[in-house]
Formats: sequence, structure tokens, C-alpha cells
Amino acid sequence: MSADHYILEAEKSSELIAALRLLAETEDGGQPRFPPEACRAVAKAVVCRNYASALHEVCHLVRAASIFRGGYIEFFWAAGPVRSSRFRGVFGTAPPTALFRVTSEGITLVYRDKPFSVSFGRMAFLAAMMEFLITAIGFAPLDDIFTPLAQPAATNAADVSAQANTLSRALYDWLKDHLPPLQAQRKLWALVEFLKARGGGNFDREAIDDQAILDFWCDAATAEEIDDFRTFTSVFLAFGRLRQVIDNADSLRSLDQAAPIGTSREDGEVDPHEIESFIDAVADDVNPLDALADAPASRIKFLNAKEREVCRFLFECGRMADLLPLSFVRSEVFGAAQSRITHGLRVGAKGSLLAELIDGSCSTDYRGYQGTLAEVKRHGRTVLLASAHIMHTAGIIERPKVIPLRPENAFAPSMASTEADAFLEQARRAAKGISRQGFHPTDLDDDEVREGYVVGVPLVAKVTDRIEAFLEKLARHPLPGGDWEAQFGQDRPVFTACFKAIYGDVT
Amino acid sequence: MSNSWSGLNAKQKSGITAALEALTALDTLSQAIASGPPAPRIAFRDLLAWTKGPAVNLPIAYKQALLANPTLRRDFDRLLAKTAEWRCERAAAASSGLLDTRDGSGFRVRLKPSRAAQGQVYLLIEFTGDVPVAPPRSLAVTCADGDCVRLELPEFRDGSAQLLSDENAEVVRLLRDPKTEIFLW
Repeated sequence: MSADHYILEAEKSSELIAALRLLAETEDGGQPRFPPEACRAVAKAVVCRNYASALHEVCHLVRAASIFRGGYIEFFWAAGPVRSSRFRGVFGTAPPTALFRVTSEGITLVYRDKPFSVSFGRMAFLAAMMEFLITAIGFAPLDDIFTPLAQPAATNAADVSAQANTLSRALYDWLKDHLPPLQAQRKLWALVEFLKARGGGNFDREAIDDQAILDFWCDAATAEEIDDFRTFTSVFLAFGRLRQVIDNADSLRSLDQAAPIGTSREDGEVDPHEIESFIDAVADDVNPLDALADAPASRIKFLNAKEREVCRFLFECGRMADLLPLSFVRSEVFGAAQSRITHGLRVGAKGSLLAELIDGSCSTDYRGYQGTLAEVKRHGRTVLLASAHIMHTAGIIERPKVIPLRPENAFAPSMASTEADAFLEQARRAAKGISRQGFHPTDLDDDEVREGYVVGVPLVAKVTDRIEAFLEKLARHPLPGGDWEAQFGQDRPVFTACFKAIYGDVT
Repeated sequence: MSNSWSGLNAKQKSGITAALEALTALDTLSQAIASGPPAPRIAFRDLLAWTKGPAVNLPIAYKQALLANPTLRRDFDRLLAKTAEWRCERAAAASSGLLDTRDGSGFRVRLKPSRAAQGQVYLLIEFTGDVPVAPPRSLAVTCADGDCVRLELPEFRDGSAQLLSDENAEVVRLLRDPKTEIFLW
């Protein structure tokens, strides 16, 4: 099997990835146009194929927008970050209309047959969904669907439902080409059969360990028949998710069909809404990095792009990283190396160049990775100290009030005056060393920056606490190789041999 | 737990399959979004912003994107058609030469050389029927090969507006070309 084949496989979903990436990266006024959680919700709805109700809401919102100048285009694409508060403001100043009523929670569209409500809280997500639809399906076909929704063409909620169903079919058709079936059953059975074979016919969650993951990858990565497990990271994530899902298996009793996710119960498809609810239960809390990237916290550069990237995977993996710390670190170090190799293939590396790329693909080792993570933690602590100084100077916090900074809970009422003075001096020095956006005294003249500190500081504390706890876990984690240096020494030839087996046949 | 695999019932196993599919797909997408191909440089929102922004020739990057991406081109044409209140379609196939007059729906565009200034040409936009209460402020000319120019129009008086342009300006070249379309809004 050629390396080109692997590249083609990886690029099957490139349009879907590009559309979701555009959603996440679009900025407006120096801020993310859409809240990160809305972007993730769109990705989740698409992957779970649980978009039908959202598309219904989009269509009703398009109808409501028809009363505004410029119709739904101006409504959805007006300049400025898209937040629920914006829609509350837009509808709050809407001209009188028989089309909808504005309530404290949202709008209720009036139809002959039955009313339909859309809450303000959903509107940022719906706008993000609209942006995704435009990128994916295109404006012209969407406009064909939306134009009849403008008054007075649609007078019954059923008319809007009919257009929403057309929209659902259009997205379904697009996803057929861009969200290839993931062969989940085949994937799962590959994992299950492997674990059963190791466990004498049965296994439990404990059998999903670091050695099992590495052994599976070494076999599967070079197997002709399985394309799903080419990267170590994909194997780590698959086993990690399997372990999480088995842990939560009791809550899956309501699902009684071994079938793909979809909306057709007649075809035996699993209800996408139930799957999405299950994912919400399994998945971790809101990623603090996402919240830091959103306003108002984003007005202050607590962490720069490089620092966020260093700990991005840790927060995406959540509890999986704690369940399988060695595999997580392997994924960070050798997964990145594998990405560099595939990138090299994409730009035409072959022969001796490819061999050199494989041999030198690791940019760091396990200790180096932990050191980089520790640097981000140290920076986070400094930022917290500096923030304490800035917030205190700006009158946002008053000693001896408690503020959520750790270990800088220095404003506790029990703190002695001399301790507080010493802490504030330490904080002042930390602030002096930071010249990033939001840390200049005049930045605090802006109310949103002040609000950014109130929202952002607990998030930075959460990030640094999490990194610290994870680094401590790594320090205590028993390793088959003895310590992290020795473990890297053992692992490197294993990964290099596998990379050569996967990519080395390119001539 | 400890849920052993053989201790799970069929419902749980099938649910695990579906949940694993969604979770791994979400993981795969998250990884790919973080490290995958960059987002398209020119998107619908950029084209929309161009129609509403200061009048300029379409930037090169936009032209390239429209040429390379037929879907984006289709969307751009639809956007202009939806934005415009008046439109002049491509001239009939018989019109193969360069044109001095273009007749649209309710309006006409004429190109008239200036007698006073050599190398200059007047662009005259005239309403041929009812004069609109809110006359257009923008004129865009598009060509199938990706060229597009947008002009801010001066105030209309008695249903007509005129502006002076260089004979070699792109807008003049496009207006003379029978294969172009004209949009007013």
C-alpha cells in the first residue's frame, strides 16, 4: 500500500475539516466571531448527525429575520462577534411585527397552526451553524431554501418544517461525501478482538493499558486491511474512548439497535439525540482554553498561541490523559513526530529524505515535553500574580478579599498584613515583567478588559492547576522502562521501526 | 465498574458502538482542525463584505478563488443577483463586438468619450422607466472569468447619474464587453 493512499484517506474529510476550521478561526474585531463552545457544538451536532432540530430553529430564525433590512443575510452576517446578547439587543429594538413576539427568553414566532420559540441562548450556536452551512452547502442552494420562508409565503409552522426538512436532506447529502462512514463496528471489533485475544476470551477496562495500545498500534498500523489505526494518536484516542464508554455502559441501556447513527428508526438507526446526550455525559467539562479564547477573557493575552498549543491536547483528552498517562505522553511526542512525517509526504519527501525525516522526526523527548508543559505552568503562575497586582491596583479586588488565585489565595481574611504586603510586592514585580495585551495599566480603562480579568483569572488558575496535577501524576507514574528517560530510550526504536514499516515503502 | 466485556448485554454493546463512532469522529475532527489544512482563504463572508465595503476592483486573491472554485463563483453570482435591485444580463450572442450601450431591466448604461479630456470617457447611467425613489449607490460589473469591478455612484438627478473614467480603466473595459453582467443596488 503506498503512502499516497494514506494521504488520500486523511484528506477524505478535508472540506468538512476546513469548514469547521473556518468557523473556529473566523475573527471579528480581534475576537473569535463565534464562541468556541458554539463551534464545538456545531461539530458535535454534525458528527452525531443530530442537526435536525437545529436546522428547524435556523429556518424559523431566518423567517423572523425577514422583517429586518437586508433580511437574513444582514441578520446573520452583521459585523461584530456573535453572542446571545447581540441577538437580545437586535430583537429588543425590532420594529412592531405580527410575525413574532419578543419575550424575556427569546422570540416566539406566530403561525396559523402552532407557535415556535427560539431562545436567545441558542442564537449564537444557530448563527455558527448557519456559517457552517454556507461554507459546506453554499449560499445559492441555501438561498433557494430560505427565500420562501420570508413573509408572507410561509404562514404555517408546517411550511417552515418542510423547508427545514429540505435543508436537513441537503446537509445529509453533503455529509455523505464529506463525513465518510467511520466503520465504527469494524473499528470496535478490531479493538475488542485484540483485547479478547490478550485476555483469554474476555477483558475489562483494566485490560486497556499502555502496553495494549502500543502493541495494537504496532500490528494495526501496518496491516493492509485496517486504515483506521494508522496514527498512534488515533489508536490512543480509540482505546481511551472505549475505556470511557465501557465505564459508562450502564447509561446506554436505552439504545437497543446495533446500527449507525441516524434519524431513521425504521432503518434501525440509533437516535442521534441520545448519542449526543451520552457524549455530553462522557465528555469532560468545558475546556478552559476555549473559554480563554472567548470574550471577555480574550481581551487579555494570558496565554499566547504557542502556550495554548502546548497544553491543547491535554485539555482535549481530559480524563483520558489521567487514565493512560504514558500513552498520552507517547501520543504528544511520537504523534507529533508522525504528523511531521505525513506533512513531509504531502510536500513530496521520499527516498533518503523520507528516511532522514523518520529518523529525526522527534523534536523532543518525554522529559522535554514535560519541561515545556512545566514552563507553561510557571508562566500561568506568573500571570496570576501579575493579574492580582493589576486587579488590586484597578480596584477590581480589595484586600483582604478572597480571590480565586492559587497558591496566591493571599487575600484571605486570615492573612496578616505583612504577608499581604509581601504578596502584593511579589505580584507587582510579576506584573512589571509582562508586557502583553491587557497588562498595560491603561488597558484597564476598558470595562471589557476589567471584566476579562474577572472571568479569565479563574480560568488561568484552572489551566495551571490542571497542568500541575498532571505533571505530578507523571512524576509518580510507574513506568515499565524505569524512568522517563529510559522509557523514551525504549520507545524510540519501536516507533521508528513502525514509522518505517508504514511509510518506508515510498520510492 | 468493573464491566467486563462478556458481562455487557447486547444493548450496551450496540450503544457502545454508536457512542464510540461519534466520540472518535469528534476526536478525529478536533485533531484535524488543530493541525489540518488551513481554512479557505476566501469565504462567502469575504465576498459579502466586498459588496458592502468601499468600492474597489475585486482583489486578486478573490478573483483566483472565484476562478478555482465554481461553487464560490455560483454563490457570488447569486449574492450579487440578490443584492442588486437592477440587473443587465449578458448581451445576446450576436453582439460580438465592443459595446457603447448596455440595456438592463429599467436602466441603460452609456459610454461616451469626453470631448474636453482626451482618453477620458463618461459613464452615464439612466433609468429608462420609472425613476426609483431610492436610486442605486453601487454599480458592479462581473465577467465569467472572475473579473469584477464595483463603483460608488454619484447622486442621481432626474433619473440619471454620470461619472468620468479613464478610457483604459477596467470598469470601462468590462462595460464594453458583451459577456459581462451589470448590477445596480
